[in-house]
Amino acid sequence: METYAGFWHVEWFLTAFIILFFITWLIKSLGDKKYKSGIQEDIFLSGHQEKEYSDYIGSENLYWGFKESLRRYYSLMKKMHNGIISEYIFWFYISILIVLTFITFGVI
Amino acid sequence: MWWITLIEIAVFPIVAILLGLLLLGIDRKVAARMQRRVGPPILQPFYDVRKLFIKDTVIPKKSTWIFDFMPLLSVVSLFIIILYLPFMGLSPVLHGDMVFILYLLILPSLAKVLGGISSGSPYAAVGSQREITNMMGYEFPLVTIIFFMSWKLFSFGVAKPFSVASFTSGVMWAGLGTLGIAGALLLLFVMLLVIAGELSRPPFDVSSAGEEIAGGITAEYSGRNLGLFYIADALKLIVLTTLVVVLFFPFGISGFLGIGGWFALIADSIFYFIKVLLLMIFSETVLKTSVSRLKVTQLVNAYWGSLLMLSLLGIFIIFIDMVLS
Amino acid sequence: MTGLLMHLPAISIALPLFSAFLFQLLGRHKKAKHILAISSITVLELMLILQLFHVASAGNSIYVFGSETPVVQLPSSYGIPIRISFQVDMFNAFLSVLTSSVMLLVIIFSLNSLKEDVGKFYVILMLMLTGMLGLLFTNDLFNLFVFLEILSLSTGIMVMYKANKFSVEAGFKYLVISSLSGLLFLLGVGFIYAQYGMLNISVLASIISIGLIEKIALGFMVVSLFLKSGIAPMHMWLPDAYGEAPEYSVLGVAMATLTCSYAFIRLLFVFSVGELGTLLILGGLLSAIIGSTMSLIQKNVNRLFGYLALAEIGFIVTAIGCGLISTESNLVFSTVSGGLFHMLNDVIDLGILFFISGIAIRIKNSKELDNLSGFGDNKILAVFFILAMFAVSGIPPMNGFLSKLIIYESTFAVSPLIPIILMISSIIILSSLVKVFYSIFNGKSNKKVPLNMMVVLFAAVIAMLVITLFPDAVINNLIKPVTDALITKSEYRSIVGV
Repeated sequence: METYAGFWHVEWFLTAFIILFFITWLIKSLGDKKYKSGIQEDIFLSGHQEKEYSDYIGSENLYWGFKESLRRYYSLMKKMHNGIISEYIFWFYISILIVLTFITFGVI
Repeated sequence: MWWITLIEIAVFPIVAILLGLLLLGIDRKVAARMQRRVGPPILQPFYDVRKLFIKDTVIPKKSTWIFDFMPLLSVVSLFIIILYLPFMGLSPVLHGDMVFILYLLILPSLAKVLGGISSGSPYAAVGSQREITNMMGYEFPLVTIIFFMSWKLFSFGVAKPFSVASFTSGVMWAGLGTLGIAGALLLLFVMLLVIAGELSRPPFDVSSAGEEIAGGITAEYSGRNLGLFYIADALKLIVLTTLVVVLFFPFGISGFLGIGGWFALIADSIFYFIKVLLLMIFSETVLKTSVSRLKVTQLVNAYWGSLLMLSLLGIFIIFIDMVLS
Repeated sequence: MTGLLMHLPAISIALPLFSAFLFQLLGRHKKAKHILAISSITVLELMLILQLFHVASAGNSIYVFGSETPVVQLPSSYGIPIRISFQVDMFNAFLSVLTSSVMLLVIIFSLNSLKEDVGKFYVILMLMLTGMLGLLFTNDLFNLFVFLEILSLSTGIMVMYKANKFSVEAGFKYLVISSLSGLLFLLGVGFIYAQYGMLNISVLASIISIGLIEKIALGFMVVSLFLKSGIAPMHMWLPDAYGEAPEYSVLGVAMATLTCSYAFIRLLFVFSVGELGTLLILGGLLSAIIGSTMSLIQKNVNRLFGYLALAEIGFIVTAIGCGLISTESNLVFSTVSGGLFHMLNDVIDLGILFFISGIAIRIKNSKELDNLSGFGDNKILAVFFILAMFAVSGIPPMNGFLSKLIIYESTFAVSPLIPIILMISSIIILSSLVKVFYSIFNGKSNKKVPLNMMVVLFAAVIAMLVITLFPDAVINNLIKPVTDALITKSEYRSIVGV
């Protein structure tokens, strides 16, 4: 496949992928012949567990670091998307005003 | 001849593994000497991998099948990237685009993250979150630098400005005065920090902060899976330093010395090894022994704020230099 | 056969409309209603594929309503065309096949999710399909407004189908936005009508001369259609509507917003107004940034996918905007072909994501991400989700990577900032999909997925894999003629012979 400034050959990629997957699988099977795989244990939680651990970390908390660093941007965005229909229409009117001004003054 | 390509596809990954583990050993030795310690022997990573491979593999009860599969994907994706870059000073085995390599570089970290979050351990989930935040961060300066260099090639009128083969003519330093060289050195500094970020080394190593989250993503991995991740770490070192060699120092030494044939190959390989060694020392070892760790909330600000501003400044300086001359 | 081929554009509007009326005659027989829906859409799809092949071999076909023979645009006594006409070229035909296939998959997907009011659902779906096909085929500006209104009303009712207070509020917002955009579109049409006295698009395109009045009129039309297809900064209704639509037909709502983007693409290319391309680039970049960053903080899975759809529309529109403002023909071809290819890939990949979330929501009865866990042992769903995740964010070798490669490597010639911003938003999209993966595919609980949903998922994944494995065949046989039909407007304009 040719693009304007580059190319992509899918056959070579898939051939290489299959060969290398085979090689990696061979590497994985090296080692002690008597080894046991797939032993199932509990997860490591340091300390003594008082109750049965059954909850995962909610996905809401999954990107806390990223959200904290961009806190001001996200508070601005939340104010933009607050669900009030008149503010949505307000954004539309502002954009159409800006576009018409640009067209009238020959910028676009 | 296509069968030479197939042989190269099979042989290059093994050489890359050996080279990567050797480089890791040299890194630990140099870091120890910088801290006035003796340090482990240079071949220590080989012993580590051998120890990991002869141990049993323990799988958590709550994990899914993806947990077992992701180390394989991580190593395979790194092998493929090595095939597309000029490894050991030779021309690349397969031909590809820079955009393709940029996207493929996401795959090893992504595989590690997917494996970590399907292990069912909260420590691994926290580590994965930090690793993805790290990944979102370092992509911005990396993409900026690579697209700028492609644009520079395009303005010189090269036919395929994105292919790796066009980069091996040394585009970074082409047509620059002293001001431009200063800008290019600034970009090199940003790239060294981006390498440290991609490998999760200090100051960007929140995701594998052993003291805080008990090992991070690989908390539940053991045995051969952990061995494969260790190999992936070594391979990533090779891949990233080769990428910087392609971008900034793609010159060979055999033309300079005027030798040909087999001696040229050997000389090029040794020169490549020296380049990669120096890059690794300056980006990883020096940083590892001198700086401490950034917090996860400071990561994005460091990448998208400071590093991005530095790279934009470097690009601006080079642009002014190109306009003035 | 030639009679059928000649009347195909009109039949493709009449068939869904007629079958929508037929549902009332079937009373309480649910099975008969299911059979009627599936059979009428299958017949429609076969006819549209036949039309695609006919247009590919024989050129554009035109259908004039109410004249002696349907292929003549000029009335016998006047000099200007006054009748409503449909014109089908490769771009229309391709999008119509895509639309009807998506609707067929949606119908099969929702077969056992509807409780009692099966007929109501199918009537709304058929009306949506009528609106979409009419919007695609029409060659008349006011007719475009009429079909836009049909599409908006039926999609608004589809959004509020579930009739709880959140859906009704989201549907109400959708209807308000649609009526406002329709009315301002009509204002733009009014300007052009007052200036030229005719409404036929192909005739107007050959006689129009772009001055200030025409640009203002086109500004009104294009920005109203931006509002309708959810381009930033007028995109805020989009996550509300996608999040509250019923989970089995949200892909139909997504297809409706994509069809509205067809309208402004066609108008800008046919009237040859290249300068307004900067609007598309700015709106597209803003959509990509806002869509990707906002999707990281959502808790409702369909709302998250709605923000992802917003980001992907941003990609498409940026690429086509770059095509509009460029002058070198190679570059125009590359950017526009990248945008259209991305439209195809985007529908398939987001379709797979919406189907998987529909399966998860149906089995777990909740739309919040925290309640959706339990699919960790379902290997097939996990593999499909990972493939779709790679495809949406553009990781090789999937089909999303192909179209994104074309977009990056051609838009960088316009400005190198554009692919940088698009690539960063692509990586942020990957992160939000990892979050969804973490929520859904954790824990084990042996729940069985309904068969019709798995069949639909398999069909979509097979389509994705075909495009992944044979990119050259797809591009040369499908995307190249479609792009040529959009860029070279001479055939579209000359159908009348004015």
